[in-house]
Amino acid sequence: MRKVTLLVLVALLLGSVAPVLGQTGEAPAGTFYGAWPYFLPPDGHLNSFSTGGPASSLGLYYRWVELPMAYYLAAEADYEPWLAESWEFEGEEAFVVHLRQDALWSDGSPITADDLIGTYAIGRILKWSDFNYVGEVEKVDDFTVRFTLANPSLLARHIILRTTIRNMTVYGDLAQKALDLYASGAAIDSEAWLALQTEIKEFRPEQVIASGPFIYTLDDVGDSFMSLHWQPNSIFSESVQFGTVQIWYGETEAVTPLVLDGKVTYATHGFPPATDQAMQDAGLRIIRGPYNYGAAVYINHDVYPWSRPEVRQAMAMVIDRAESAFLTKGLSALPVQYMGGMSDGLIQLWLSEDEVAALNTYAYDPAAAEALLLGIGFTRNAEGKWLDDNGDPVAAEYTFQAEWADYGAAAQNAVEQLNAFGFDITGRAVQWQQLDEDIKAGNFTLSVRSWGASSPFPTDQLNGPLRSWNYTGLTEGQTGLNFPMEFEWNGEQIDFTALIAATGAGLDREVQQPFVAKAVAIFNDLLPVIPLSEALTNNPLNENLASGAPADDDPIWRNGGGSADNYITYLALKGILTPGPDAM
Amino acid sequence: MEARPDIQVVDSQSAALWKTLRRALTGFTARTLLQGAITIWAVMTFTFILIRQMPSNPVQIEAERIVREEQLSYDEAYSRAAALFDFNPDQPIIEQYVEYLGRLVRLDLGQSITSAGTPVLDQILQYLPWTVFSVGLGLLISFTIGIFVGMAMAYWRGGILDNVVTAIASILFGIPNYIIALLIILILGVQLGLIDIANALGRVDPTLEPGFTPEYILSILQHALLPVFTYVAATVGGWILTMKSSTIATLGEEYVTAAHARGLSQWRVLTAYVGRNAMLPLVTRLAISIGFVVGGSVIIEDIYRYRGLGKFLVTAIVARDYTSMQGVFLVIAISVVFANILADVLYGALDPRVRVGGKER
Amino acid sequence: MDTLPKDVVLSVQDISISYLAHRGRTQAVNRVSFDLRKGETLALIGESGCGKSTLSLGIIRLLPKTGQIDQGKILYASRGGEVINLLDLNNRQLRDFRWAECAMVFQAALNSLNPVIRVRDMVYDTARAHGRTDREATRKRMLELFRRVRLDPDRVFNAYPHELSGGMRQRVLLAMGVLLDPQVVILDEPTTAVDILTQRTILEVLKELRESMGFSIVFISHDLSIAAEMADTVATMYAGEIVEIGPVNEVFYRARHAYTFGLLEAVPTLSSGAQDLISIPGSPPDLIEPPTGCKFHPRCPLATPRCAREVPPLVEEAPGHKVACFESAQVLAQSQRLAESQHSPAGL
Ligand SMILES: Nc1ncnc2c1ncn2[C@@H]1O[C@H](COP(=O)(O)OP(=O)(O)O)[C@@H](O)[C@H]1O
Ligand SMILES: [Mg+2]
Repeated sequence: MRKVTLLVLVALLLGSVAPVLGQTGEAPAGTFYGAWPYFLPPDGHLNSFSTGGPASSLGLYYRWVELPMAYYLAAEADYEPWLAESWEFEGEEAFVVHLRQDALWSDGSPITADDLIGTYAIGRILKWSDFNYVGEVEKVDDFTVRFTLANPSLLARHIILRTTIRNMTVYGDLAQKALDLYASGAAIDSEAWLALQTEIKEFRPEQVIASGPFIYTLDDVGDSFMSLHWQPNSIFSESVQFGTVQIWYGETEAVTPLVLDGKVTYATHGFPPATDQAMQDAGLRIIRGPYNYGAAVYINHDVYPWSRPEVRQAMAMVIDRAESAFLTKGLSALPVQYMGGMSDGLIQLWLSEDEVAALNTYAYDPAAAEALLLGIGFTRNAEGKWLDDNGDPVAAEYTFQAEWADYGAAAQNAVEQLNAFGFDITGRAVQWQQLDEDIKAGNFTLSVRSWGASSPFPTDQLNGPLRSWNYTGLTEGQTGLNFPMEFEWNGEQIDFTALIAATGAGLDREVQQPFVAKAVAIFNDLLPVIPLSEALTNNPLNENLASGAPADDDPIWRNGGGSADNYITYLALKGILTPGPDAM
Repeated sequence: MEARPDIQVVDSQSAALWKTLRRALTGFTARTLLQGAITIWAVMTFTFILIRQMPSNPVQIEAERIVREEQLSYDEAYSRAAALFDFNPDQPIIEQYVEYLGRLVRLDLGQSITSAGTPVLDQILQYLPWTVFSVGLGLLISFTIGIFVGMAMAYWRGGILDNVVTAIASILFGIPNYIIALLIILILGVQLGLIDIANALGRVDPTLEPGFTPEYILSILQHALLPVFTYVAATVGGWILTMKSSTIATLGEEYVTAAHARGLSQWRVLTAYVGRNAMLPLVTRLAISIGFVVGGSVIIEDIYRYRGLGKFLVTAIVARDYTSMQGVFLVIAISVVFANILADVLYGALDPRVRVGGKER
Repeated sequence: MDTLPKDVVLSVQDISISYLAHRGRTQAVNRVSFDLRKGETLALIGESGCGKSTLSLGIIRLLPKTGQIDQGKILYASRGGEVINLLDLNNRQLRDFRWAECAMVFQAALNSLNPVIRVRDMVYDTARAHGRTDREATRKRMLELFRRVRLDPDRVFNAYPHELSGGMRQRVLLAMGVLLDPQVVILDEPTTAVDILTQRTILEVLKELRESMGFSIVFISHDLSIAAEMADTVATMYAGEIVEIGPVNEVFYRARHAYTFGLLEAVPTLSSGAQDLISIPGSPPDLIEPPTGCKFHPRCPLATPRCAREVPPLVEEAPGHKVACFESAQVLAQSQRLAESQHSPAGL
């Protein structure tokens, strides 16, 4: 007992000395020019628990200010410890995180278990979705926190480790109230709970205390750009090579001229193909990381003959996916290769070589498609148009999003290719949110939406279309794709919902793997939706402003350009990316 | 001694002016205000229902953002998004309406849905002045140029000025303002490098301390240059052409010839006889434009990264932030109603024939 | 240096005015000459489109931009006896000349007042333009003149035009016309747009003003009875030319031009009654391509082949009575017969 206290004392002492040591560092020269539509006060503020605060306002740059416990490396499906040092599951009971003991806040104080506990205490009041998996959050020691698991899964680990820790000098009062309220056993929808929730959301701290190497105040938030400034106490303060991060305000249209003018180091906006070309012409390097999803033909399985797997397989063979990908997003899309309902990269990561080889890649082959359809009694009429086995024309309306140039192009190209094969398809543009409603209501025959998901988990990948767009995940009365989730496959009764759930159940990847392989194989055969292309980021990187970015085949680029686990965050904080000649 | 009559003249003039104004205003009594209030209420109710009929809702939109940014599944993202907002998509619309109205009568516009804890009024106060400044200045300049150039063209009709400006004005009139803005940015900025698009955009140099300092004010003016120029370029053609045709019509009026016959100076005829009459048809248009000033020009504000109310409105619409949207629509409705009242007052002051209160007793 | 007979105040000499239009040049006034003596009233009569208004606008040099004076002189004798050619004046001098020396009441009198300012502002504007900055004096004089034209002075002075009736506006213009005590007042159809009673009032006040102030008048009208009542001298204009000019009784009782006679025949009189009205068939000619010879010949009942060939010169056939008609003798005979049958052309 005494020993522990002593240890803590020493640690605290070290903690208070450390800043003095840390502060010897000088801010590195060089500026990183980012771009993001951050919030301007009063919408923008410094409470990262509330929308408009750093967490929702700064995009990927938020993690340059408040660090998560770990960084997910997509190519390895594994984590690099950041504020955490290590972690482990205690059976199925709990997940334990050990924090680094040398990590400091920008004010020089150590980052401790109390900060993490407080963070989750407030998160509980705010009904964070983490509590779908987490029960209690307990302090084991000053640097160790134990999360009891309500719902043990690898996703719980993923969600916890990627959480940023907030500073209790700033949020301590709220955290204490939250702990007290929870301890009092108050109901989640009680007056007191709601009142505290409101208090938390309306809290407007005067400062950020950062764990990342950058910090800012509201004075740094201008209407055309905002600045983050280097601070010496972060675990990344030594490694990071930029002294200032200047973030231009703006969405795609506003940011495009700045990018073309060489004023932006890196931008994560989605640019249209024409801009993509202009950026290449301007000498910018374009980073094409995976989104893990892309355009797919959505099919209403209530409508004959589209409900027949053979028809969908034939469709997969008569739509040239290379052409489709190019017309959809130019170089920022790849044709889908394995057609397994998951990103090709993730299929390679999860399936054995044999399992991958067993997948049908549905190479472009109209002759094979023809044979397939003739084999199930379909015929061609005098004009060469297909008739189904009832003698009805194979005709349908194919709706697509009027506002989405890329998916619109995918749809129109699919219509063309299907008609060239002898189907009778008419395309129709619909306002995108209306189309969402139409698809959910089962009010369509063919349409275009995404396969996969931005989440790299097989469960989320497979569920992408099958939960959000199929009757199983929709509200009463909505049929969506109406793809039957229980069916017989290869003589075996399959509960596809359960199978997909099994791909994410438990804490052991090895246990999950066979379920993933099986689900992918089923998807590959039945094609509930027909994947066409996988979207890639087209993030411009200006190598005059930043040097050191690794080659295109480096695994880091598999991380993608989102806000969490962004590849540039990794490269910049680790000091791999350094100021280029124009950024000094 | 000799100055006395002059003083009296000035006195009687200002008294007359006051009288005119009073008379113009007395018509705008309870009735006008009531009408305005009803209009505003109607617009408010209409938009209240309409914006909630748009597909999707704030939680869904935020969930989609979280899916993209945080690489989470939609379900996961939805539950996060739902926790972020004080917004219940399942609350009956009539209940929401009654609540909103209840707050509105206490002049409370409520809190932003997507920026929980931020009063809508604060948001509007942050963005409105910039839009009113930039669009209003643009309108003012455009109107003034239009009036003078249009008159000059009518006066020297068929001359070089007329021909050249008519051609330019007709072309400008046909180009949407955002095309002008894009051309400026892409040609002057990116291609020719004449404008430092990195620092010339926005509302003000963010490194300057806000305050009534010459640098800060200069910076505001500098940053307003491009948007104001664009607003002027996009609208001045219309003003010029309208003023020209109106002036031509007025120049043919007998009272103008009669004024010349009385030996009046050119200037006096141009201002009090031609100008004032020719401007009458433009006053209504001006008032309508003033009414829409607060809406700003969404696309211009976006292209120039000039964060005003228009840009804010779009952001609110995209995020389905009902309360913020509602607040902006309310401000627009109020300003349009007031602009209309202003138009009546202005018209009455300029044209005695329509003055409320009728004939002089 | 030009000179004028002692009592002549305005002398129009050989003036031609044309308009440029897309179709070509309109010769609206062709070689017109006349003298206006002090205190004299000259009536210009003729159908619409004969160039009466053009001529009067030419005199005060207010032709529209498309109109120009091609030749001639307009001489004016100032009160000091100095004779000036109005065509030599620069803009500044012209402005001084207008209204102070020669005022004009326009044909469209009802639209001659600026609708958005008060009568008094127009009065002050006028006075100030001529250097009369003493507003009180201007006001007093204007009120006095308003009284003389039988208007309620204070009310009218402060009124906006739309608050006044047509007849009131006409009298406002009349009164304003003499505000600066001009030597010449041109009245372009001052009674056309008003009702018969107002017409009487206007003629009455006009006579009173002329009596008391002694200005000369160019009185344009196509109403011969009014012209007869007002004028000392009558000039008939046809197709831009003065075809007959002479003392009022000469012209009306012994008309020598077929056109004047035609006009006289068209006058409704008490004895003949409106249903007997004989108007001249046809209408005034196109002034871009006018007829050859006598321009009236296509409409003239007395026309001979010569009339179509030769232009009749303006010759003085009786003292002060000039006419340009080859058949003047025949016309004279007819007009004397007409005069006997109806005691007076101004039969009202
Ligand atoms: N502004 C003008 N431009 C061209 N032609 C004109 C213009 N004003 C008058 N005219 C022509 O000049 C001729 C004389 O017109 P006007 O002087 O108004 O005649 P009146 O006053 O006798 O009716 C007519 O043929 C008329 O068409
Ligand atoms: Mg006329």
